[in-house]
Amino acid sequence: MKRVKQRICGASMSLAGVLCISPAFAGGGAGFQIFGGDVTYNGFIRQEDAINTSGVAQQANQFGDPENGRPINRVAGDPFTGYKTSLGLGLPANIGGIPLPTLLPPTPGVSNLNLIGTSDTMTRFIPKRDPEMNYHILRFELSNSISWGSFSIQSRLRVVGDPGGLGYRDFDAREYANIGAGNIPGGPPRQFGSTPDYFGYSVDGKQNPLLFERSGRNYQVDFPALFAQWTNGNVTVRAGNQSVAWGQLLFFRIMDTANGLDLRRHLILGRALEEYADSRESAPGLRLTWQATDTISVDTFAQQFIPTILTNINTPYNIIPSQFTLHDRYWQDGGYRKVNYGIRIRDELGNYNWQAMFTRRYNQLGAIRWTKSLVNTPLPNSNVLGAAFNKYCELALGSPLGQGCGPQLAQSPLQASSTGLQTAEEWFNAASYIKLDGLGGLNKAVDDFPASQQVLGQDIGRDPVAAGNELDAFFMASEGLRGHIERKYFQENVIGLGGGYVTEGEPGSLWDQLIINVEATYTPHRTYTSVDLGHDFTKQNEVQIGLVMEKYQRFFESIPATYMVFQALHQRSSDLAGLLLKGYGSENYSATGVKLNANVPVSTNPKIVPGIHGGANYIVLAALQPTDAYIFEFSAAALIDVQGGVLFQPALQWKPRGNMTVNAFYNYVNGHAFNGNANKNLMSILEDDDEFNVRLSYQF
Amino acid sequence: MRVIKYDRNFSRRHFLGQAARGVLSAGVLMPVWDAIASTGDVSKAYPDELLSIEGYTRGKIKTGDEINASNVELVKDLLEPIRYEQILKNGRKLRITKTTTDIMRLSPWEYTEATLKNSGKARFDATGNVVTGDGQPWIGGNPFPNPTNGVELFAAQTLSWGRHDASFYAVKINDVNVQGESRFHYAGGWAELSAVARVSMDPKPYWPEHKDKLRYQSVFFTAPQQFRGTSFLNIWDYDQNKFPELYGYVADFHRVRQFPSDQRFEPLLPGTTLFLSDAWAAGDPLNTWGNFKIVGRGPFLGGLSESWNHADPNWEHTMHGGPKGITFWDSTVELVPEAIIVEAEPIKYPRAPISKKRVWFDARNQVVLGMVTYDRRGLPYRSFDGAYSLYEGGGQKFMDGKHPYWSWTHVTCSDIQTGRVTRLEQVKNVEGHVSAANDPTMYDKYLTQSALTRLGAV
Repeated sequence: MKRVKQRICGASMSLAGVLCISPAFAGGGAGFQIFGGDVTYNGFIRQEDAINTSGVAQQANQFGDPENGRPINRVAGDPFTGYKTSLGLGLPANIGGIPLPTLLPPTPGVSNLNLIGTSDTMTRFIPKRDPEMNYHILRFELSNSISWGSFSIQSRLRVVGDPGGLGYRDFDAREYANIGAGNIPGGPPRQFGSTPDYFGYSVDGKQNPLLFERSGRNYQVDFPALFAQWTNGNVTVRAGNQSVAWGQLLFFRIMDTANGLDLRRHLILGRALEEYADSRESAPGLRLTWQATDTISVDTFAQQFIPTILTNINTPYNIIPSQFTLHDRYWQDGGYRKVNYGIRIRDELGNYNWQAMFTRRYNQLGAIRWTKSLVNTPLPNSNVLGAAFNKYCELALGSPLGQGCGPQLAQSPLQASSTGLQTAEEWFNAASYIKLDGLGGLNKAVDDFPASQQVLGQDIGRDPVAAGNELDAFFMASEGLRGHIERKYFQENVIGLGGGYVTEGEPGSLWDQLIINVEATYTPHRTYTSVDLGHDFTKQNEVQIGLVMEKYQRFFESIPATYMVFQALHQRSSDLAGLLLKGYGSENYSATGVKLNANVPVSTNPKIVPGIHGGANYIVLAALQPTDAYIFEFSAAALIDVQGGVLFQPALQWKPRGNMTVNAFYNYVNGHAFNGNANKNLMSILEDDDEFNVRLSYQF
Repeated sequence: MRVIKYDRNFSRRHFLGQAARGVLSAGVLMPVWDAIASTGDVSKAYPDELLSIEGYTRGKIKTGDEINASNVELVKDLLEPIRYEQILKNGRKLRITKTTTDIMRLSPWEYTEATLKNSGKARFDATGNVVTGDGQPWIGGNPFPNPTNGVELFAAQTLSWGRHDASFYAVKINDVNVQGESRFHYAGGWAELSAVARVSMDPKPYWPEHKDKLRYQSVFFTAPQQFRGTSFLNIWDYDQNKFPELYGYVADFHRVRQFPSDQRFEPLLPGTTLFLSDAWAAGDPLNTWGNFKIVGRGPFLGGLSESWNHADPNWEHTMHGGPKGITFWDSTVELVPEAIIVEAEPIKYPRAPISKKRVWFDARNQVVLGMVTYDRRGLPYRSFDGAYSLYEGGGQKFMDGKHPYWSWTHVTCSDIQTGRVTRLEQVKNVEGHVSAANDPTMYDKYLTQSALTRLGAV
């Protein structure tokens, strides 16, 4: 006879001794005590890799900028005609193919420069570099609990590391520090000063703003859960770092308002059937759950406000154009002192259920606008326009000698930088990609900042040609302009109602046991990023309505049931990412027909922010088919933006044994599946994220 | 020399004769329930050859002996086919102990008392539910201690699974493959609490606010990490024509979600073929199954005593057999004088993977001794055998109120078609969740949606 457990370490009473007493602990552990409390632990280690199959870098990144390597003509506008005409028009750059001499030699990337430096051809000098890998991390998680009857302390530790390199193409801002005005970005140096900051979360004024996280360029260590729990019959109180998930819909966060998302690591491109398991933020706070009656449960929370954490620039899934420096005001505005709170009541009545919720919160998404760059760097004197502007600023505007237009630019949302935007085409493409107004954004960069007007910036109205001329003038003078934007957070009330019903039909039929839930929330006066990044944020009422229908259907007697889910979401004012719908659908401007995005129309008179009317609509279709004993699970999930985008993920899970799991899944993104213009749907932002994913897990 | 008055053929003729006449009356020499009612002992209802293994095998196997491949032929008729095959070919062994005849040692004390007290008060109403004479839900104990047909046996089993008003079982599960390797390990808890037919916990016999419910039942897992916090809550209506409500905490989603109530034939865990439907051989509402019929009667080898491993501080059991020596539990069985074999079909599950189940009931007190399910082709699919015990032995006792705890100790689920074996055992403690009975706080601890959230992954 063989014993289940063979005592192998003797009867040591020390912690280490206790840990090794029982081989059962090799599969997680329990059965020993510390300070009289029952201790348990288990965890896993997992390698996660994503092989890039799109063949391109994310377009928001420096190496993925579609302008890289593309020669684009630039003609500087004349400020004295409101930029309606060009400076030096008619002055040829060459005669008979022979370049004419110029006052100053061409700067990096410039060719066909005319005599007085007012027109040229710009070929962005940052190369296109396409990654082989999008993602390779090693993850370790350890869950612990120690309990003394009704009181316990529970925790989950997460450690993530990514060495960088190994198939990545890491942009390094330092390589462009000696071009033009250099690259003094003005934001947190770790994010903007050199190579990508994969996991670091720092905001202006604070390197590590989260109490339960320490992170850096290549690592993240945090406690997604670390709280004390007390239970007294039908009441449970949790105090500490924790997350709260509400609502019946998956992926669509209608009632799921308590916590933001941590989009570092794998954005929203993880295994679909895990929803936001890895990305839902946690926050320090108090949660009280009360099972009021047999059917009614009440859930309340009050937590520190923690924003949704966006990807850092030049990281593989970055969605914020890397020619911009984002200043997160979470710490400077005292956001870390703010509290979100809410209550949800849920009643289960057999085949029916209803729920109601209210949250008063600072919206974790925040809102973004232009902000002063506070970077006092003159325009480079290596080009005619830059030298002329600097002289103008010193003579006419009183800038100290040698500082040129630096003092003015510091008070504007722009700075001269080699890693900035270089052409009007790039400007319009970047704006339309992120669902902003390329014309309005330019005007607000001028109107909201008197210093911009001092350096001859002008509101050009809705004239794209004038905008192109104005932009080119400044891009030529600056040899690259970085935009500075700030993210601020605003309080709002979210009121929600939901109901569900489970159908009863012929046993085994498709219409039997169909689980239907509807949820809706209303948020009055939600503060949004204005499509023009204007100082005055846009306030609009938001209505979100979602439907989820779930069905487990046995199609075959010998194969477990297939899980199928259909979801639909309607949002009246904004999209899934919180961007206003009025910023959707822009076409791109180019005076010479340059098409930076093959799926966006280009003209000299493009439609800029026509918006989409009637709200945003999304559909999710997903299915899961396990094999006998769940050794294999085949699944597929599709997120469809009905305006023309698709994210499709087929997946396979294999459990060769209890402590091992292998996952493989493919992310296919098509941001131009239908409807003509890729800027009409959200998926176009993820267009470059086709990838094959493999995860190998070992649990203990 | 003792003269055997009623030989082995007498018993066989008795069982065959009753089966041929379509009569079911437990007991050979007299109705067993009459014997129990008068003496609390079943000895008078059965001849000697059905009360000891020595009598049955004419001394070839004795109490304390081990049944193995060398002698299994002697008791082949006392085993389900899969256990016989496993003993013959896979090194499975059974230790024989003496037959328990004291009925109070075969179920929880209060349950047996209520069975005696409430005998004759049960009937089926027009909807097929067990009610008292005045049409109220059942009031406790076995409603049909002297069953006359298969549905009465299943009705009693469905009404009370663990025979306590509330039970919490700390459970460990191992799945062993054909190569004898333990591939999947799980740990967790199973809770069940009756809202009616209560015999120990106040209020009784009904929990007034929940009188329309039969039971609350949940299962949750603490290990491995991937399934930590995954849990399911079943809320059973008293009406056995209705499917239980089913809720689950999905660890990845961090919240409780509703599941379809007919979702009772899906594997609870990877690597196993355990379904909710399998629970206690009567895991579904009574009237979702049908075509109950008695297909056999006779003696049987079942685990009914001496199966509590008091030697292990966590009650964990020892193993043997299979290629690596860990495929089967070390088991103690005894000769059960009379088992009743009942078949039933899942009439309200059109695509269930099984076509019927065959369940062995102890004729004396109707506890389930074993079960074999059959696939849709009619071939044997899975076989369940287990062991119950009073939790006393070696000078130790684990008490349930005034009496030693009675419960199941381990179960072996054999997937006949793949050769996999899933072993389940009741242990004392899994991560501070301690096996116990009739603790009224179990409801708040384990049987509400808030409890699922609390038990869920963090």
